[in-house]
Amino acid sequence: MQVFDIIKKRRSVRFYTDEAIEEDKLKKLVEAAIWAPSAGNIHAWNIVIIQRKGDIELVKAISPGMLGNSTALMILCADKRKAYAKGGEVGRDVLSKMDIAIAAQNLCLEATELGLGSCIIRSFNREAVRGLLDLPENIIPELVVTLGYPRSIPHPPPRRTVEDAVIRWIKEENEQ
Amino acid sequence: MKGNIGEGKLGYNLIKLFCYMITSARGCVEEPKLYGPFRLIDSVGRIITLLDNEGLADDFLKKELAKIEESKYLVMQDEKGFTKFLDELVIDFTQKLKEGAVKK
Repeated sequence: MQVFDIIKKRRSVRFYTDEAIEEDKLKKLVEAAIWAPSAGNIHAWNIVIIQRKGDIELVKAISPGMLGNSTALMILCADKRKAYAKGGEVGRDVLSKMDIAIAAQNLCLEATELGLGSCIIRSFNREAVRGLLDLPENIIPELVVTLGYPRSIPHPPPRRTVEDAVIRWIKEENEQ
Repeated sequence: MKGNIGEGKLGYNLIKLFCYMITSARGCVEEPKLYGPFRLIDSVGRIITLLDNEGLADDFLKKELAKIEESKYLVMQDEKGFTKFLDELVIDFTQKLKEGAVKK
């Protein structure tokens, strides 16, 4: 598949089969995230992977945005200490979150290529998840990505046109 | 120990439900406005599911649960449809309330 095909094929999947995801595929997803661009090449983030059903249920209980089911979770966490040490306040408060968002998209696109479904979630209680997972104070969960083999794939919602998205296109006068 | 809500399947499932409702309440302070009605109606669905698991859901509740599960995701792409679905639930439950009041 071409990259653009994968981009268009990716959907936010919320219902999955019970089939477990192979470990090598999960590692590939992490690798895809690692290859995402990062401001200042700081890469101030880490991932928690959860496959144990009981633990997925616990995270779900404090994550209102986690609807449906999933067989694996990847929780993308900012390392605030590292982000601040190398990127200052902007690195800690802004760039680390942007890096995580880009990494999550890479992860989801790779998941699509591997025949997996994924859904990026921000509606969860970050402090509750941090406490539940006994994460250090400087590690802040920013996004949860649910994963699994899709049981159903939603129809694509309507998208804006290029003309609607671009508010200004500055060209040389002789360019069409 | 008698009275320990965390013990037993029902108690534990209730704790999970409370966690969902409490974290939803906290999230709704900052999240988009429409998340509020969605979380409330999703909570109703979860409560009916709990009752159903305990054999306490009657046909009316089962029917309403099916409606909720079928239509709650309209919130993501069809606000008007979601509102219409909520209006229908209001009528259904008000009718049920009225029937109960008459019997009393």
